[in-house]
Amino acid sequence: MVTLPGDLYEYKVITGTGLLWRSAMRYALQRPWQTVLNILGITVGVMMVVAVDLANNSAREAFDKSLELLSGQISHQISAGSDGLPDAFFTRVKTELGLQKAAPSLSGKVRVNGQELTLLGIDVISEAAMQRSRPGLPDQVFAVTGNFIAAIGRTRSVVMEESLAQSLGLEAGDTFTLSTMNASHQAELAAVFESADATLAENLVLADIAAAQKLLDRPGRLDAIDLTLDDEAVAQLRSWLPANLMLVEVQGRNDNLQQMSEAFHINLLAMSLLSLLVAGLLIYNTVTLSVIQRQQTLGIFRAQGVTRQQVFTLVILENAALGLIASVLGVVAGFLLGRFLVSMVTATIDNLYFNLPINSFFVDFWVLLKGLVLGMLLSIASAVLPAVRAALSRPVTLQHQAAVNSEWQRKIHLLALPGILLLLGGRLMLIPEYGSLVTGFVALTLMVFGFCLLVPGLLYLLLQLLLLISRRWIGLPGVMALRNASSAINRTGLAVAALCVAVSVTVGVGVMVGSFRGTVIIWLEQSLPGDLQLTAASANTLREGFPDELLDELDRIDGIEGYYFSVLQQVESEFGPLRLGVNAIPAIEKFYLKETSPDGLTAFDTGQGVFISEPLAYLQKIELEDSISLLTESGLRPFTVKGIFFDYTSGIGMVQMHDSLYEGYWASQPRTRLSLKINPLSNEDVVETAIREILSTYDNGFTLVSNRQLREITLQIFDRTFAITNVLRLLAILVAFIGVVSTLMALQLERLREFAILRATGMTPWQVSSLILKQTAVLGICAGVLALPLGLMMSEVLIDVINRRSFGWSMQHFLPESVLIEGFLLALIAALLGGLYPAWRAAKIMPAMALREE
Amino acid sequence: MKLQDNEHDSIHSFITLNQINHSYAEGSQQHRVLEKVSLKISKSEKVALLGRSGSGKSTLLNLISGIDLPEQGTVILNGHNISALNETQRTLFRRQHIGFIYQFFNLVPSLTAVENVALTLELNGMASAAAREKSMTLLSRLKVADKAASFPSRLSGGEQQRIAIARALVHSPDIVLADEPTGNLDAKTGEDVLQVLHDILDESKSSLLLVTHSLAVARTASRVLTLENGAISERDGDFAW
Amino acid sequence: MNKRFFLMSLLLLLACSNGEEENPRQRLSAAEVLGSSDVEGFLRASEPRRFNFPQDHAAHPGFRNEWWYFTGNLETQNGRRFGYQVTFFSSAIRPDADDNCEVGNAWCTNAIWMGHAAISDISSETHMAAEIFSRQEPGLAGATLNPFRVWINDWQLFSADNEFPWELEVITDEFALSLNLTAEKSPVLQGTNGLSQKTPEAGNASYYYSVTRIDTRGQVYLDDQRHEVNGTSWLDREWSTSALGADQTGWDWFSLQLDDGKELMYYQLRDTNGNAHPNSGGNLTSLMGTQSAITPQQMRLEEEIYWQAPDGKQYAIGWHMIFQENDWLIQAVFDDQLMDVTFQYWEGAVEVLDSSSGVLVGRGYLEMVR
Repeated sequence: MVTLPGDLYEYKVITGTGLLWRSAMRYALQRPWQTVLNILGITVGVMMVVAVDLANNSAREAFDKSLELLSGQISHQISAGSDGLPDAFFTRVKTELGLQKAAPSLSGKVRVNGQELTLLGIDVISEAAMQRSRPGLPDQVFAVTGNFIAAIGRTRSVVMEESLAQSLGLEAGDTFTLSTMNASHQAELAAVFESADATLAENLVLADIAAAQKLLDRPGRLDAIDLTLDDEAVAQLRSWLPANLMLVEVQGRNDNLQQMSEAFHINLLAMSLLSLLVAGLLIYNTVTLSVIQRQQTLGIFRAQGVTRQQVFTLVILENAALGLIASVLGVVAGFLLGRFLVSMVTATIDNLYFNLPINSFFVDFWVLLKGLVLGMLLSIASAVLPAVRAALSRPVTLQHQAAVNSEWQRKIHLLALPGILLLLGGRLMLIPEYGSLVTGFVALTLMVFGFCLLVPGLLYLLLQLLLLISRRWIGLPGVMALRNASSAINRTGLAVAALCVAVSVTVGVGVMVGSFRGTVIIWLEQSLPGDLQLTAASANTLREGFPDELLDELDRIDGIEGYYFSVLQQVESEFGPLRLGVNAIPAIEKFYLKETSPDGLTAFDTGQGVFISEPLAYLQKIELEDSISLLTESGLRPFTVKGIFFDYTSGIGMVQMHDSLYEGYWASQPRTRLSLKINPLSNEDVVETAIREILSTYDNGFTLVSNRQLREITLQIFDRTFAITNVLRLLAILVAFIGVVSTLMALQLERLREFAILRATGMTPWQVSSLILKQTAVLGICAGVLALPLGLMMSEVLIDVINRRSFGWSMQHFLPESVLIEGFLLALIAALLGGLYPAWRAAKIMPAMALREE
Repeated sequence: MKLQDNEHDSIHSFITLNQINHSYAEGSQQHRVLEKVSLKISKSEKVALLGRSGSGKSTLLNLISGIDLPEQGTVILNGHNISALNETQRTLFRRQHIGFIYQFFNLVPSLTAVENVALTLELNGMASAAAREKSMTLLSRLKVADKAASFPSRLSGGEQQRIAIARALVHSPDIVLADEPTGNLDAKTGEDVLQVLHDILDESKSSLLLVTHSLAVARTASRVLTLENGAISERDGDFAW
Repeated sequence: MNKRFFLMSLLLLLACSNGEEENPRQRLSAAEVLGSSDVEGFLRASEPRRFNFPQDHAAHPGFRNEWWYFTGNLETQNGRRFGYQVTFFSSAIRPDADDNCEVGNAWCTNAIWMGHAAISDISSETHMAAEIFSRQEPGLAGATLNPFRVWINDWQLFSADNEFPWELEVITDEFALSLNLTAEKSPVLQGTNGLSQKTPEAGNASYYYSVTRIDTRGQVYLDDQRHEVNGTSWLDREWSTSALGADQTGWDWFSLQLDDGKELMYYQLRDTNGNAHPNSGGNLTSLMGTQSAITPQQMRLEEEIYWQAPDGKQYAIGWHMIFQENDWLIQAVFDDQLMDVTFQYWEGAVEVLDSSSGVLVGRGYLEMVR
């Protein structure tokens, strides 16, 4: 509070008056394009954050609910890894051990009418005895039995929630086709039930264990036995349990899964925040420009006695109002987009970590509020510096146009220094091998900011360079365009920096996904040995393996050069379930190896050790020569890690061992896969037909897939997994695009008066327009050019740090030219678009009028 | 009409500039524009300040209005030592006690004519309806009431300057600072505008400091000063520029 | 006799699928049980049959319900007394003829089983009850011969071959029983040569036999203590498809083992007004094992003392039974022997006193379903 001397009185020192607001509002309305684009920029930014946040939350919720649904409310599971355990063991648990709180568990993915669903096999009576309630199912499990009773002990009957049945066009009593990976079955909808929370059951088909075994092609098997045990029972069970089975503590395993998928959520969130950051930079730019544009008006205000505080408040509140409108729109749009994103996010988690039968959209109202507040705060925060600048506007009588630019240019090198420091600091933060994911993102942000600060200086140099090179053939208007751009660097510098960041996000993420895909393709080539895969698919063949007659018959087919057996199964380990791959191919021929012990290859081929996948090694910090415990038929046994290979199939990790080693520990396991090598000279299709003919006599006991198909499927899954990333990238492009257009448009509109002078001195409208377009093109090209190194730097960090810390994957760097060209074109096209309107305005303007304007 | 020096010194001295030194930077050089300038203006007095462009006339206005502070010397306005006030206080002082008229009108482009006038009143705490009414009255008096709803870009120079005069006087300031008010107008319009300004000033009893390089314009004031080489001198009688 | 309410209660539960908050226990009402059941495809107890032992000790697939019902009074060497009850109920979801399960699938099952076990610790007047549920397949419950075995999970009744002695083993959270059972008399066919008519309607009947006096010795485990016991048990075996008539709401069932070597079984069906239904009946077994039917006209039953369960239902825990020249007082050994399980009823050990002299003349079990 100032004490005012004499007859001065204090009135509205900080807040403005109605007329001040009115002038601000009219200013915005007189530039509808700029205002709309400004709002749109924030709207899209907020939309992304809200949508990703909602999708993340929904996916987390779906994850929790799915865990609860599939293994919830139990303390332990008896689990065996390889293809589950025989159901007879459940009988033993109940009759010999008398464990009342034990229930069999068997689930899998099925398709009905093209819709992917989870088939959950249960024994309702055991469920009741366990008093287990599952989300989405009627609370008292017993209550479901009214509908379920018709399904008990039947191999074709299933039960589902009534809205799901409706959406599939089914009624109780209907027969329909239900398919798994290997086969199709006729199923009967025995009954429907009504759920208090239907969304939780919307992808769920319930069946008795009898039907689950049949429909999932898992005869005689269970995934696990769910248990609720007290400590005493745990001890008792452990001593009783055969060595090839493992008692798993469920909470720990679920936590582990949750932690792994959390990395993915952080990635998405970081990406959306990055976009919001870009939006913030763009807002900063537009607000700065609007302040510069209104310099004179603000000067008049100041001379008239409007205080600095009032000017500051005016600018801040003006942007808060725009921010509010934009954020409300953003939240609404985010809500709609989130609905769409959630299925992509859950698809990714489903592919990477855990079978998610629930993928509903859960709306957390805090998320919406958070988005609103974030958008507002961002709008306000981005306006603070411009508002300070506005508040410092000199009264009109003191304004000298020339002073500002030179002042700024003198500061360019000063900005570069902190820029370099930030870049270095960020780089240093990335050095530790096992750093946290969040540190990785912080470092990335620091580096991006650092680069931003370098941009004005780089831009200046770039423009000078262009001027130097092109002076001869661009003519005076061209020189003017470059000079104008360079002398207005206080305005263009940060604008270009913002554009750079926006464009670089799309480049960085594009290069990252492209590299990943490229790596996966190479890896697929190397890790799918043979040309055709023959897999046991029926209960019989799964148990018995390949009959000798079949092998003889295959031998007789021309074109089959050779075959070898393999096994692909789940195995329990000290780190939870892992995939185990086994065959007799020498290590050198089948692995896409990252590193091995000196004797690694020999050790592998002679059964002296195993190779593990890179994500497993990274996430569990396992190194060469460490040992890893796997649950064998004779209990947990240590295996020495002799090598680490690249693997991109799933988040849970994989172990590979030679057939000779497997034989010693899993003697009773049949070989259920056969890889066939085709003579390169023979026609694969012909050979395939011949094999299919032989197989037809084996009653669907085997399925034949070509590696070509497998690669396609794997890539499809890959693309599905990264669909969300691509969507976010597209949105980032959208934000960037809006930003480029609005910034450059504002830049040029601000100079209309200058162009009018040019018109007055005799330039034709077309000349003025093309001058404007040239200038924006130059800025666009500069932004595009500068965005490439930033984008590449970002992709390096994403590939080598973020992805590694998130998933344990390391990948090769590929430089998809299309992404680079795309980024460059994005900047250029947006720049030209941003120039169009000002060019049109400038061409239309009457020279005399222009001179009078403002 | 002439006042004796001692008269307005002792009784009516309303603005006092005391030994002002001031310079501004141009490139790397400092230009001394005011050198030991002292000046006194009484209440309701109309003073014209003659000088070439760049002679420091505008700087003097900035110092009197508190927009700029003198390097040396004091500015005392109606008993307030301007140099002793902080930025906010000076701004408040300006909005309450000073009216400005500029060569290039400097109307706010996003406000209509009447709003430009009313802004000064609103800033001083008047309710918006009252401010508008009072502004309209003044616009009528200045014969531009029919332009009240127009934006400045739609008005002629003479009309704009009338609006500016209304804005400068609507809150009955202690002094009106006019910087070449006719400099951007044709001769006839300039004469009209000047006449209107004097008429209104005679009613409002505000003082006037009129900066111009035109002797004809200066002669409409009751007292004419010249600013040359950073120093002020009193002029009397015929003056040929 | 009568655990047919088991079937009904299960069906009722199955029917109340719409997630109502109501406690399923309160839905238990005998009247609703038997009237509406679809008996299509099931075998019916419509005419007398030949009973064969030991074959008839095992399951009778094709009928909807079947049970093995043990009650008994036990005593330690130093005179501490226990009553016990162990029941294996089986109820079919559907008739056997069913092609909806693929041959060879171990989980194909038609029957669901429920077990009840209870101990009445007379010295501390404590009653403990436990229940168990299971589907029949794969091998989770059943009743087979060669050797004889009836089981629900780890509760089991078994023999080295198909003959007595049988072993009865039940382990619950609170107590355990391990009893060696030897029949002292041949099975007694109840009703008309084992066909026990429940309503006048043909087929509304069960096949019903009892082993009325079984020498019992073994262990009762309670509070981490092992009690060596011996005493006398009673086995009721019954299988049927249809249930009670619409006008029957519950029953009282007495199994009395008298000190003079006779046993008396009597059940009194109750109509909607709580009065005795004309289809009530019973049987008196002589020392030598000969039997004679008891008609409602020969039996006078009067309720003397009541005990109220927490849910408000009144159970008669003291009865006056006048039969032939006898006038007995039948008294619960203590009041609260309520089976506090999913389907509630009162089932407890009783003493038979001569009402004029007050002298103890026998022991037995009383079941009341309300």
